[in-house]
Amino acid sequence: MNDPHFIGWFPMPPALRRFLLPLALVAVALGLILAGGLAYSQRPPGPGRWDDSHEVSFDGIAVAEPYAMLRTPTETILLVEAGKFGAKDRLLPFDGNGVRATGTLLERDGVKMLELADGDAGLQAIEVKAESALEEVTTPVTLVGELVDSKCYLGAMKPGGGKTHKGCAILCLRGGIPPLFVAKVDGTVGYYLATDSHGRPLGEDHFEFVGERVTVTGQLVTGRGRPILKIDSVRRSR
Amino acid sequence: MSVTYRPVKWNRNKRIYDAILAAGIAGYLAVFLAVGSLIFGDEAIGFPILLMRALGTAAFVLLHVALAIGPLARLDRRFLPVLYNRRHLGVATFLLALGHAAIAFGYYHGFGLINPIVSLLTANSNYSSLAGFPFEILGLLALVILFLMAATSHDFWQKTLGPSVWKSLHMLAYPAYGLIVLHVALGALQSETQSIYAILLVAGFATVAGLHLAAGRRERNKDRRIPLDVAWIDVGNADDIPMDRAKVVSTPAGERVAIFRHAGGISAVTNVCAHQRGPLGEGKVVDGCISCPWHGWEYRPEDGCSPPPFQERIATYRVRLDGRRVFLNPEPLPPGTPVEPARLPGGNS
Ligand code: FES
Repeated sequence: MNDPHFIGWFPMPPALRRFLLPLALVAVALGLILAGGLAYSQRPPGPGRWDDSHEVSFDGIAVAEPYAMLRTPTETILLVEAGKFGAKDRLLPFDGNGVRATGTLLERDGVKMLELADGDAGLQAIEVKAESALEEVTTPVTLVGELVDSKCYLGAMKPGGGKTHKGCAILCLRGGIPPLFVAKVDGTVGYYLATDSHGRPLGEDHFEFVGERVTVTGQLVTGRGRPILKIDSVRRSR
Repeated sequence: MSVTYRPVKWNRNKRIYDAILAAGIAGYLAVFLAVGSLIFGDEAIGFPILLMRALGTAAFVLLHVALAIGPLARLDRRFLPVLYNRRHLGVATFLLALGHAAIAFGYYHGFGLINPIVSLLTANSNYSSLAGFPFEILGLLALVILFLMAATSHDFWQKTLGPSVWKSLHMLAYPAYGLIVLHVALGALQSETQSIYAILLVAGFATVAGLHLAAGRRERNKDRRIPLDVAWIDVGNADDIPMDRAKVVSTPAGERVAIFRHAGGISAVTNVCAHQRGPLGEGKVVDGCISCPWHGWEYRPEDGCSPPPFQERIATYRVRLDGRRVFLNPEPLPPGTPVEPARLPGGNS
């Protein structure tokens, strides 16, 4: 029959089968190549890590403002709760005092965060030596980078930044996760705790810029643990 | 056109079709996941995100295929069998998109302070900025459309909604496609760094649009325009119509009529199938019935009725012969009206 007509419930005419079957195989093969190409071209998710199977402890001074953190003699460790919640409420009773913080460690480029263990095990009052007086230095800056929620970006999600992650980042910030401003300066990536121009936690009016490339003007405060970026103004770059 | 409805009436062709479809989807996901989890070594992309991307891209690729089949089949009849079971492709597209959305929703909007649905709808309200636009909403709208289409893809719904409502509903595939293009452009493309994604997005759009334009142009050329005052239309020589096949002409009112030559003579019916408006004129007379090229619904050429127990009816038209020239009366008769076939002198074949 050189006039093939296909009816679903009859066997397919051989001429049609000879035409369609190779085409179907080619289409499937193209699909597989496409899958490989699309997967291969994804942006790298960055060097964040979260070892959520081991608990570790750090001793230091509890700092509740602007965000929950622990200052040890050598570094600053951000503190968060499980899920998309900050740990400020849990930290407030210890504010300014010695504390042992226990939890699982998130880390990216040397920036550390603990997801606190449940209950009393997470924070225990201890004696620590008083901090030696540290000098703060404030410099006016204009930086181009991205506002991120620290927990996802440091390793809870991979990748934990960018436009596709924006909704999640806003939810995290609303829940009290500290925002970081990540900017590449002279080839190295800087991670700055972001606050409003008065040094208070960022509010809703800044959340709309999360996950996008923005230019920030403000004051960079260094010299006392994790540098803080007090944001005066933000605008979208590009 | 069964009288009782079953979820799927299986046959060998559908099984082969679905087997190829399932193998294609499984292979796609497997390759995407394998490549995606290997490329960055121990700084790997998180599995939920990788899976979400695999599902989302798979759904988008399948949607391209589903949209390309229609014009392909109009350009070359040999693609018709692929159209036959397109609904399974559509349902698969919806399920993949649903998986994609479920992961994005649970992972990005769960575990937080706010109800995930509220979070999804209120996290971002930057409707005035392109770079910041809440692309999630676009995807959600497309998903709702895909759901409606998948849910009503069964013949039962087609019958219940009627062919024109059903067809309009399923034309929403195009807005859904547009929404997904924007969802990708304002979402993933804003954070991905490789230009291949933008290139493929444009290439996909160009392919779908190009095929539709080509098929549309071809159809327009085939429609011979006939002056309005002609009572009977000269269709041409009966010998130009292959046996058991049809010639399609347009009436002055803009309706397409399929004029079949079959063992009984020459008969004319509407070109529009009562099922999903398939082009009956591209079908064939098999065992005395016109068989629709899309899903095989059948109609008798002499009265436009489906053979019992089916009850479908389509409009018929009067034809007459002058020698071997065929003339068509462009007034459609009510669906199911018997019309005596015009008999060719010296036999019909
Ligand atoms: S359109 Fe489905 S059988 Fe005709």
